[in-house]
Formats: sequence, structure tokens, C-alpha cells
Amino acid sequence: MSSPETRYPAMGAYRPPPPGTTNLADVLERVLDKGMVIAGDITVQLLDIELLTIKVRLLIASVDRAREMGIDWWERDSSLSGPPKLGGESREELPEQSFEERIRRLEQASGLSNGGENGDAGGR
Amino acid sequence: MATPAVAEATRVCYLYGVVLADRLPLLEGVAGVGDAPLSFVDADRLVAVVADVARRDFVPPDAERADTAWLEKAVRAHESVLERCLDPGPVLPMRFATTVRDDADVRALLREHQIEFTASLERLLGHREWGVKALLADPAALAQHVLRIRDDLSARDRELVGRSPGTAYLARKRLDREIALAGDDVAADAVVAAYQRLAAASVDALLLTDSQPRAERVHLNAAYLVVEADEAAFEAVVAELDLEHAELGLRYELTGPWPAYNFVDQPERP
Repeated sequence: MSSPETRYPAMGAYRPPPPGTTNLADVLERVLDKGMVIAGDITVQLLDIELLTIKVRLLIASVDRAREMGIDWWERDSSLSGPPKLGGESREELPEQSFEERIRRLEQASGLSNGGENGDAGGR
Repeated sequence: MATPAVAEATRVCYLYGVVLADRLPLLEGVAGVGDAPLSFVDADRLVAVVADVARRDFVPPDAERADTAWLEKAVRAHESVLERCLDPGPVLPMRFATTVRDDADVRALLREHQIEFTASLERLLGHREWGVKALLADPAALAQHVLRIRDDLSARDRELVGRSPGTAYLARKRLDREIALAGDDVAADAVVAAYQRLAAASVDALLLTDSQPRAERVHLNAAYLVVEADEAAFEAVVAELDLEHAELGLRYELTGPWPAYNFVDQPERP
């Protein structure tokens, strides 16, 4: 396998976007759902602010709001636009388990086994 | 240091994140949530980035009406403060709207979690989080690819071309469905391979199952913790994947560097 550097197109499309232009959906995904949550005697999550956070989540869960924010999640809903399912087997999402199964299968197929889904640097 | 609360009952301390004392960010000109000025609260080697906010300024004017403009501004402000923190070194990002009563509570919090916070920050030194998504940008290209690799489906596809629309309708529907499912399979295998290649170029990888709605179908959403010196190589792998998987209609999107939202140890589960 050639090194990534030699195959990297001169000006790929993969420049990280300049600050402030990050897709709002990407920001929401991290700011609202990730990050450190502290619970303890000292921290006081004030009730109204907790309520606010809940409202924020509800807000994003609403199709109308998503549309207003330029997010089109209904287009991903296969019951509205995607391929109908065959034989009742749901394959719309890629659950973690099946993802891991695929990893194992691919590893077996390629004769690779670097053990675990977490990257071992220099595994290739 | 944050100034003492003027009107005690109506002011709270908004906690953005925690950094190492020898990696203090420059926060001039950064507008926090609700435009509240930012300050530091320190305890030994740890420094919390905070803002003294008025509750009435922080809560949107009409929460019931769900002000999306306010939300976007607030969320982006939270993120931009943390991104500024990331310039000189790692930051432990707190979740949006983490608040405590006052500076004294912040200091007590830093002392309580001193060992784990310090360990987490030291582990993150020299690393940054990047996000990679694989989106199905061109479903037609994926369908074409399926027809190229599946002789049985392409034979049926050719056979349907000459038939009258009436008789071909249901057969066409069924074939399109099978092509779409075969395409899902091809794309899923491709992104699993992609996930692994990117994981090999990073020190930690995490598959994110939930993603915010997008117009294009998200086949892969993953976060990677990358050594700063290896970022160019990591980016090159993304570019390489995008090139290789273009014939499958997949487009790869790289975002970052992010505060290590997905690679911080939770001190306590709520």
C-alpha cells in the first residue's frame, strides 16, 4: 500500500472549514450531546437552565425547527423517501453491532487482524 | 477572576471548560454565551473558563417559542470559547449550559476532581479531535456501481428496458429496491473499511451512532483523536478515501479540530 502522502491530491477538498463556518448540525451534535457532565454535591444545575437544555433538545427534535435551521432530516427517513425494506429486515441504520461484525468479516477477508476497533497506530 | 455577583439571586456561573494553568488561552475579543465577559477561576494547576451570567440574559426571551436564532448564537458562542481554549493546548469541554452558583463552587469543583481532570488534560496534550462523516452524495452513482458488480441485477435491468411501462412497473419497483439494498451493503462495507483505515491513523476512534439530521444519508459518523503531528497524514487518508469511494457516490467530510468532546472521561455518570 502506498503511503497516504504520495496519493494525496494536490489540493484535496478536505481542508477543515475556517472557524465560524462549521455546519451547525456538527456543532449541535457535540455541544448539546457530548462534553463533560458533572454531577455532584458542588455543582448546581439550576432548574430553569436544565429545563432550557431540555427545551433545546425538543426544539431540535422537531421537524419544523430542523427545517428552519436548514436541517432536512426527513429526507433521510426511508419511510418517506428511501428504499422500502425487503422482508422486514431493517437495514436502514448501521447498528454498532453489525458494524463490528463487518469489521471482523473484512479483517478475515483481508487477512488483517489488528485487534479491536480502536486504532493501533502503525497497524498497517 | 470573575467579579462577585452583583445581584446574587439572579446571577450564575457558566462553566465552559477546564484547561491547564500553563496553557491559558487568550480570550480577548471572544463573545461568550449571552455576550457575558469571560474570566478564569484557578485552583493549583487547573483553570476553569467561566462567565458570570445573568439568568435572565441567559434564558432565551421566550423559551416556549423556541428561538432558533438565540439557540444557534448560544451554541456557537459556547463552541467558539472552547475552540479558543484549544489554541494553546487541551481543554475539557463541559456540556452546554453547565452552571454552578459562583466562583467558590467552581474552585471546589476543580479541587474535587483535580486528579482526574489533570490526568485527562495531560493525556490529551498534543492531541486533537477530528470528525469524519461519509455521506451518500450521489445515490445514482451507487446504483450504477451496483449494476456494474452485480450481473444478475444488471441483466434484469436490461431486460426491463424493452418492456411496456405498464407491465414493467412492478418489476422495476422491485429491482430498484434490490439495487438500493445492495447499495446499502456496498456502502456499509466501504465505510467500515474507511473507519478502520482512519482508526489506524489515529490514537483513539469512536463510532458515533447518533447524528444530527442531514439532507444526505450519513453512512459513517466517527470521531478520532489524532496526534497533532499526524494531522496532515490523517487528512490525507480522508482525501484518499473520498477519491476511492467517489464511484460509490460517497463523499467524505472532515471537521475539526474540535475540543475533545468525545474523548473526555466522565468524572461521574449522572
